[in-house]
Amino acid sequence: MDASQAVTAIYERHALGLTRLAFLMLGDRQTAEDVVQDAFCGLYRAWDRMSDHAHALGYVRSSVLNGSRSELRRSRRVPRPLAVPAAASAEAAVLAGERQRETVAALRRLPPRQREAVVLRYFADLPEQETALAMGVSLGTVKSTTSRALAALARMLQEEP
Amino acid sequence: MTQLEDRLRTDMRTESEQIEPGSIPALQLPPRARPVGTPRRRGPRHWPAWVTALAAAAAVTAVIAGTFLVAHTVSRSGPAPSATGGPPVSGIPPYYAYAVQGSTYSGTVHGTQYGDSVIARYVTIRATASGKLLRTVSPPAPYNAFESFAGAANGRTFVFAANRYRYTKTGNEYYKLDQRTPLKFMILRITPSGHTQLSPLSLPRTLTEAQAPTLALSPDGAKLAVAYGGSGKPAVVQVITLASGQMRQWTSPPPAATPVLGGPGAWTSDGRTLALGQMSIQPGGVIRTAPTQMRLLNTTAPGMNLAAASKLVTLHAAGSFPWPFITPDGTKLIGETGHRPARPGTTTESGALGVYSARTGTLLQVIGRWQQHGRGPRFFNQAHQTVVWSNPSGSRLIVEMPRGKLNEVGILTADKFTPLAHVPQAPLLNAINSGGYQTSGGYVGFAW
Repeated sequence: MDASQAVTAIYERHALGLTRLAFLMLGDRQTAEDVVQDAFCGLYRAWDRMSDHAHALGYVRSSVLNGSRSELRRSRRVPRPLAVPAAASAEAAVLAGERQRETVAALRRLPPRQREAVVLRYFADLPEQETALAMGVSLGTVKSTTSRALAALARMLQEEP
Repeated sequence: MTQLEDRLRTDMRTESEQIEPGSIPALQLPPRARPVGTPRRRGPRHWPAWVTALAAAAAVTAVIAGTFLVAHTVSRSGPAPSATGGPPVSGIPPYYAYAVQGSTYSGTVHGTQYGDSVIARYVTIRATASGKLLRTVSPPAPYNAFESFAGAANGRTFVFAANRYRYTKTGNEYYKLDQRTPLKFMILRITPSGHTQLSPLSLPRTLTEAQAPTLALSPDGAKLAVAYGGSGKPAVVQVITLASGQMRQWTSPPPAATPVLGGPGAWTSDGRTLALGQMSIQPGGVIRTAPTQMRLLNTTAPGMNLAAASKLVTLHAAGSFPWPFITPDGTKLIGETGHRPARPGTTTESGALGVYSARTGTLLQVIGRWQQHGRGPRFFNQAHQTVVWSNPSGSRLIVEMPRGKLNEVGILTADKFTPLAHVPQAPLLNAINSGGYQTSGGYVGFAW
């Protein structure tokens, strides 16, 4: 299997999850797709230099996070609209939408590093060690960053941390 | 797991599921610079000593020049356009601007969601041949939207006008487009090597959203035309030379139609003639177009009277198109004609482009015919054809036109339509501005 086929195969397996991850970081679908495309192009260019292709997913995940960080720095965008599905008449749907809107709004108020930690730990379900690798920080930093993020979210959402 | 962690998991998952399986675009890998297996060139390079010294001096100069550039503009390097452009993309603008997302600011009041359409939250510049992202342009804070932008026919110069949506709770509106804050203009230039330079652009006169100006860049990107007013106010057309800030202005007192510029199709290639549509906005905001007339302004003629400096061309058998497109050689006007929207009880909609003589307004040719058989009248009633680029004579066009369930962007030659592979397509659309359309999910705009 050549680089093109190998990278495409990884893309087909993981693009959805990584795009969703970038979308949670950025709040914008098109930018999320661009970031993921760029990350896979980077993987393709680096393919021949990689000593162990088993780490390709970790590599591209880190690239997605780096790309998201760059986009946030570059654009300094106004907060994205909260894409709550249009609520029908059902009260439950309205309440559920409101709760989700609050959660995502609180998430987007976190500093990018804390948001990364929360998204990797609780959306991507990565263990702390893999979160540290993806973020390029130590295990201790992941623990303290996650703890601070949860405390901030608890304050914003008036929940127990 | 705590209650908060559980909530985070659930809500993030629900939020992310807006991106549905199967909706992710295919991976576009770049061409490889060096074929796999080709060894790198090794060994010392044999340059004369004077070349080395010159290179060192040039490097210092480049650093100084680069520092100066960064201090005055926001510059970023980018990839050159792909070399993979085949016959369909050769000779057409190398880059296009794409008004991404065009999402809505939305809010929920008592369980009902309200939103305001935004033409572009930000714009990406992409290579026509490959779709490769070259640059993202966002409005500078506190601005948060682009309501209009224009591209030069050379595909290397773009002007953006940033607007501001302000939070409001008036009635059902959550956000409102600020009518009074001066529009903020930015200009993006792409160098032959594929580098981008983004700079603020000062215009001699302040423009606001209340004036609803339309823009058009001259083919070489050196002049910006701005048109506004009319419909009870004086009609105003300005042409600004960007390098010097020098401005010429033509006006017509009321009653005058609103002059409308159609982006790159507004200028002839010699930069002399400007084609203006005529629109009449009635009290209450009802828009009536005057589709049978176009105004051709000679921008080199003396005087400031719009009517005296221009010629009205009556188009025979024209459809309803307020956005004029004049071919670069100035001989033809092109626009939608014979558009037959689906009538109640029918499921067929059809249309075509009319090519008219710019001198007499006579219909010369009908091209790009299309017909759709839908599932119901509602299915097609947002379909439109728009020309966004033309070669000098009008024999090769870039158009968006209805195809299947999409409005596709492609090249139209001698009634043959070839979609452009790396330009995003959109589901049913609503023509808003030259080369732009609105989908149910947002606005997609093109400025070539």
